[in-house]
Amino acid sequence: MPQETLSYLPLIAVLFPLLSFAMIMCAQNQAWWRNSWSVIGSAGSLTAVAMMYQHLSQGQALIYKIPMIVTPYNLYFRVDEFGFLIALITSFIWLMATIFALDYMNHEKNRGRFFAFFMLTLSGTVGVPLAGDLLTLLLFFEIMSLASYVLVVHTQTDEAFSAGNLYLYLGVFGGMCLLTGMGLFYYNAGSLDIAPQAALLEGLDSYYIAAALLMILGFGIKAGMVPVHIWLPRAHPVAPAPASALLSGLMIKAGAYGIIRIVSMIYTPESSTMAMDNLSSGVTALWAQVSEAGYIIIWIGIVTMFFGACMAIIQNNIKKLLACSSISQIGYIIMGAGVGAYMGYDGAMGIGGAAYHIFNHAFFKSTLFLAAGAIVYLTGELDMRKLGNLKKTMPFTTIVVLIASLGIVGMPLFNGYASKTLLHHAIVDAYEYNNVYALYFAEWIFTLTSAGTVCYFLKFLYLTFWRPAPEAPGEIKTEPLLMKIGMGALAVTMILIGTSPYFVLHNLVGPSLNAFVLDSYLVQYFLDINLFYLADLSAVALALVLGAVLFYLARRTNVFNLQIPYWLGIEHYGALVGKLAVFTWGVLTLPFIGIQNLFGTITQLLYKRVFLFLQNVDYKPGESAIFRSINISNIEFDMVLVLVALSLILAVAFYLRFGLTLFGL
Amino acid sequence: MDYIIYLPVFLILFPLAGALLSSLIPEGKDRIRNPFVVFISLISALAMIVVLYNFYHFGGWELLIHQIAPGLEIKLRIEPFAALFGGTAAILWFFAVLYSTGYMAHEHNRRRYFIFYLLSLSMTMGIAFSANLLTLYLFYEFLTIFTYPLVIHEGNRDAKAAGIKYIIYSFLGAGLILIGLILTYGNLGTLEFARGGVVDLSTGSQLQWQIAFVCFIFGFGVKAAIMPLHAWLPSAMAAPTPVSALLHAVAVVKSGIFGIIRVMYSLFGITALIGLQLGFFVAGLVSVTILVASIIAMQQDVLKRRLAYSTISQLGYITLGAGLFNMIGLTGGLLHIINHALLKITLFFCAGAIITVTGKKKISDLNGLGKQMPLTMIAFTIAAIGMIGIPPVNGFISKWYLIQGSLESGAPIFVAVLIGSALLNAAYFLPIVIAAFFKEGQFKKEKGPEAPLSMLIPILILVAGCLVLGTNLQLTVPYLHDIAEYLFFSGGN
Repeated sequence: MPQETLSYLPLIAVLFPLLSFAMIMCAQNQAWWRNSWSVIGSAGSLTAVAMMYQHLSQGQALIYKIPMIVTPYNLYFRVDEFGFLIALITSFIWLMATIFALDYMNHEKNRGRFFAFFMLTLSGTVGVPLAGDLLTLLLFFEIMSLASYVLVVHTQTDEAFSAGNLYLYLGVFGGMCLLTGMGLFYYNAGSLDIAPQAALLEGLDSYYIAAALLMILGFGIKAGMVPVHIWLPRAHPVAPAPASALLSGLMIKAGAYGIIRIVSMIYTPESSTMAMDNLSSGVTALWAQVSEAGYIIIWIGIVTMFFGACMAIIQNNIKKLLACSSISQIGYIIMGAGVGAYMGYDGAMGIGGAAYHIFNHAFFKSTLFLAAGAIVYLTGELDMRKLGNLKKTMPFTTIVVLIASLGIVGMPLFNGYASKTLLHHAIVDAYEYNNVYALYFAEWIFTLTSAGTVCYFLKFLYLTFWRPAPEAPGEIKTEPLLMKIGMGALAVTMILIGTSPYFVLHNLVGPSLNAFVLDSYLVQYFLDINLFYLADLSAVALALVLGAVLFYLARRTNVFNLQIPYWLGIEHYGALVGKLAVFTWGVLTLPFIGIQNLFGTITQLLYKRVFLFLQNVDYKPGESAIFRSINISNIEFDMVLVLVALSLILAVAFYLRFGLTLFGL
Repeated sequence: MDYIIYLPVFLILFPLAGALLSSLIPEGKDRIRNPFVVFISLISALAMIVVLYNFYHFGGWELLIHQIAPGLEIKLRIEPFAALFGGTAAILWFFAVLYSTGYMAHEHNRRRYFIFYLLSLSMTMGIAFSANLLTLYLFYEFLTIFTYPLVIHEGNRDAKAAGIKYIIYSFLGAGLILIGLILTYGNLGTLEFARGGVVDLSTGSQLQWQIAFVCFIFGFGVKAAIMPLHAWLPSAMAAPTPVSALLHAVAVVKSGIFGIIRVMYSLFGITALIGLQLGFFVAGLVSVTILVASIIAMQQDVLKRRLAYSTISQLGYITLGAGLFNMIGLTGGLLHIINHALLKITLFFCAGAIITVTGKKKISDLNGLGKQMPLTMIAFTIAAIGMIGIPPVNGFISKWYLIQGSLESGAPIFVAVLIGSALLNAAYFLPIVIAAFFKEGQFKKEKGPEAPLSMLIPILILVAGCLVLGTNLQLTVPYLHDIAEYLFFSGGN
């Protein structure tokens, strides 16, 4: 157990953006006011997070507890190295996106609202990894989920609303899944801490399993896990570019983060139980069950990555392509988390790879979305078929996109290489762990997906930047300075990360494994890994070559412009499901409407037949208006009613009191 | 301290006297009446706070008013649950009266309205402080009678029909209560509320007690709007909004809930309740209420009716919490009395402000309202989020306790009910918010305050209260836990 130190820093990191939100809401229309508060909010958050490193590097976890605020127990922050890693990239990329947005938002309306909720979302997103117990995590998760809805529907077009509705309701559904899961978990384990729970060693009953499934589903919805990814390709593209950069780059990571925390942390035995020579049966059983869950998660990850890549290949809208690519990449991360759980105590490679890929993907995907924003800002066009030759007109963006794309395809010396290699190691290890043949197959899908990634990025680069423009381009201005700064800073960081993978591995990703219960020998193995073995390089080369071949084939066969036939598309099934739901709803509610009408009719009848009749017999209201409006008559009548009821009641009561004995019952 | 023990009587008589005095003010003299009624309700709220203060520092006390016959007494008692209900009602009453002065400015018959509004306060205090079932029954009946003129205030066909419905349902319920009362008295010779209950199941046959219990549940269930006895509530929405807000979300309906919990835990007591074996009957009944009311709420287009069905569903939460028969569930239910009161009164106040300013009653007419009435709609949004049960608004905490309570009772099905209802809540509240803020409409930003200040200020204070209670749980949870502990006492008899 690492040492803990009390620190206000997590609270400050969350409160800074919250303060900015409040401040921007006060004076939405003052450009300088909201711009400066946006930068203050994200920079303040970044500073607070960065200052945590000092404690963490000494092996101390930061904690901060406020009793009975928001949750019935504590508002509990506990920052370990893994949470710190996520919080750091979140606040850093957020700051860059904010700087980018200052210029970008010039061509959008409702800027005040956008920046205010940009900050509120940051508060939630940065709070998720800093949370120390599940309810605190849920609080920030919900803030993030609800606040980002405003960003998704920002343009207020019909498309945005339909995407936004899906986003919102699935988000609320996910949140409720989490709440239920946490409720179940708390009831059984008696604790909500994000730490290995001793209570689990007594065996997993169905409550624990249901809790885990619900929580994984809740986080999975946010992560974009297949088959609950349906909101993602619709919601990410409709948001303004800085928002979609963060949705795709960071917010889906909150989901992946949650999954990793649950399967690889909460549902594992404590490290002290592993120190013994003879493992208790509870520990072994728990590992076995986690391993089973991990195996399923691996396959969910594999399916997600492959499916995402297939979808991305046929997209022609830049942002849609990037969104589908996000699904694919989150599949890598989920797969890594799955391997981590599958191999249990030996899962350092899986978790490490997933953590590293979260880190890398956040950078390149945000950058790519920002670049897409730059393109739409200058050309007003997002359809790749209409764009072309942007390398002449937008050289800066071209370089940035090139760096990010080389990263995402896993080119050595760019930032995606290290994490993809680690994940490849992870899946190979997973196969060798139990020699399950299916996982050998999974490794092939992994390689194929990598090739697919190469293929759709070649398509993106070729169509948008390299080929001659299909239409004569209009006058294109250069990118505004702040946009250049935002993208440029991210690109430079990516080059630094890419050229010094060991630095990141040893200082950020490696330490984050300390938070988990892992075999220290394998953690050391993970840290000492050589990333540039011939086998790894040739795996990348294979993916690149395969990708290029795929690209060539796809060009020849016109797969890129393939329209999914309507009957196969997700929209079609969505509509079908929707119609079915409406129909079921109608059938289900029919009885309720019926009951309601029945009651209405009965009351009406009572009123007409009995009441009015009696009223006429009993008392005619006078001509005075006051009497009619207060309607004393009713009260009088009710006295009669009460008297009648009373006598009835007396009869019944007497019967019950004496009659029963009288009749010998 | 000597005179303070008479404060409960003062709390009943003072609004009564205030109501009678305000009847002397002529209809047109709003400038006199409005400050007067606000003053009366303010003094009542302050007196209530003094009572609460004394209660928490020196403990409860009893006041015997009149003895009709041995075992039949008019008697008041200050004890934890009374403090909870009385405190919530008296304090919210002040805000509601303040709000009414703004809302009623353009309505007719203001004199009559305020007389009965204050009379209802008096009766609600009586219900809260009653020490036995007879006193409770007495005030409960009077509350029905005094709220009737408020329900038919508009004086049109709808309102009168709603009034009739209300009266019929209420007296039906009252009759059932009377049956239960007589059965209980016949067996026990007392109607006293006591910690841990007074009912001894061995004094009568099991069936007899079950009948009495079911009579009580359905009798009080009329006001608590348990299905199928809920139909009066949606039609009572014909009343002016402050009436709907206070009486049909806090005072009247909660007096039904209050009665149910009183009967369950102070009259029967937990030992007898478990002996009756009717726990799942109650919980099942209200589960149906929760879900069906939410489903019907989705079909409503008139905002107040939607809120009314939402009330029916949320009242079910409280009864469910009481019907789970364990401490945690009961704590959740009691928490929801306060939380739901605050949230729902905010929602109704917002609906009333919308009606006053724009005249729109239907949800489909609210597109783009966020431009004209941003503060009101923000308040509405926060309260709606609380209703769904999303942190950090206060509805979340009661839901959490109810979930824990459901698991404690060994019936996870109720968790599904609660979560399903939360999702339905989201499905019928969020579209209103979305339409108001993001859809295009004909509303324009206007100069000056978006609503009369006497309406806007209570809304903002109450929504701030929702957030404060939602984020500072030490303000509610420990106290409510104590109250639940007080009620949930198995050492009775």
